[in-house]
Amino acid sequence: MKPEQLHRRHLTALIAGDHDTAANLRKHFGRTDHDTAVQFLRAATAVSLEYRFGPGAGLGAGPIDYDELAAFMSELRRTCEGAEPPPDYLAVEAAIRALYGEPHLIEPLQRQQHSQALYLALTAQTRRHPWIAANPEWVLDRAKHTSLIWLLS
Amino acid sequence: MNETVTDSAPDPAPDSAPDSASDNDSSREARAALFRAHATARFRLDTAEAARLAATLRPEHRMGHLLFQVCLFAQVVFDEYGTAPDPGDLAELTETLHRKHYPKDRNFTAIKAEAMIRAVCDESLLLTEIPQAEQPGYMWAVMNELVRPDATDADLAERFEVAEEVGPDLLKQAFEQTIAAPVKEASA
Repeated sequence: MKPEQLHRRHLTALIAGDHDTAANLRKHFGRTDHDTAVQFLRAATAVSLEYRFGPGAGLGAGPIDYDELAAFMSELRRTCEGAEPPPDYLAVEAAIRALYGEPHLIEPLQRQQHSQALYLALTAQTRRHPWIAANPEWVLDRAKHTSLIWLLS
Repeated sequence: MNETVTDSAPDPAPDSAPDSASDNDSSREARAALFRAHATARFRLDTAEAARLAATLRPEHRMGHLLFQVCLFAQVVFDEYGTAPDPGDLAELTETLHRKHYPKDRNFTAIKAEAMIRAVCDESLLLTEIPQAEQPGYMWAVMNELVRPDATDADLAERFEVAEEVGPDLLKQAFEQTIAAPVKEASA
């Protein structure tokens, strides 16, 4: 399987919430694929977040509307109420704000921590807008576009 | 919060403990003096002295020390930002702290420092999301940014006094908001 195909399938599985398939695909990951997967996930999350916080996520937009972010975070806290251990909400906030002009916030995050935070934000958006999950191809194409811009800049 | 009473004591009456009153007073004073000396060293950026003093803290005073530092911190925050900080101002401070600490300490997570500020304003929930053991470090990062290391002794003494006064009030408030709240509602 070509790397491109591998990463598209992996992200499609994540968007669909199919964690077994995603884990199986990760067995084929090489040394740099984990970082690539986080970047691709970050791009897809950016695409989904534009439907809450406005266009240009990860592409120069910002600062974020902090009231809207606070509303988003309190919805997320309600949704995840009772989860043990609780999600790292501050990492989620850092991941989102980093896409809106505060990139330094994710520098101290571990890869795993960052990726989980992004995934929480993405799933919050797919819950709210089911059509995002219903059209993974479209999300992937736009995410690919964003990743390319990141690579080139 | 009475430190002289233990579960295993056969007779928990406070009077039965020898010299409990005078012991309490002198140890409370010594503890307050130690908290102040430690805070002074931290305000003055004397890390070696602060570490030495911290090492002399008794484990049972750890929670009281955290509370003292939270009160001190809350004051510094209110003085600078009031009770409703502008998120843009906070974001700016957060970036400054990141640039200052992250290059030396790769674990320094600036958003936690910002969260401590918001925690003493109107998001007390954040206090439960940052491990207590990490809280003093982030509070001092903020305090050292907002208070000049050459602040006068009188200025520091004033801050310490307020912190010692509001500490018990803060505890009482927190207690009333949680455990005592339903009782209050019922009697209203």
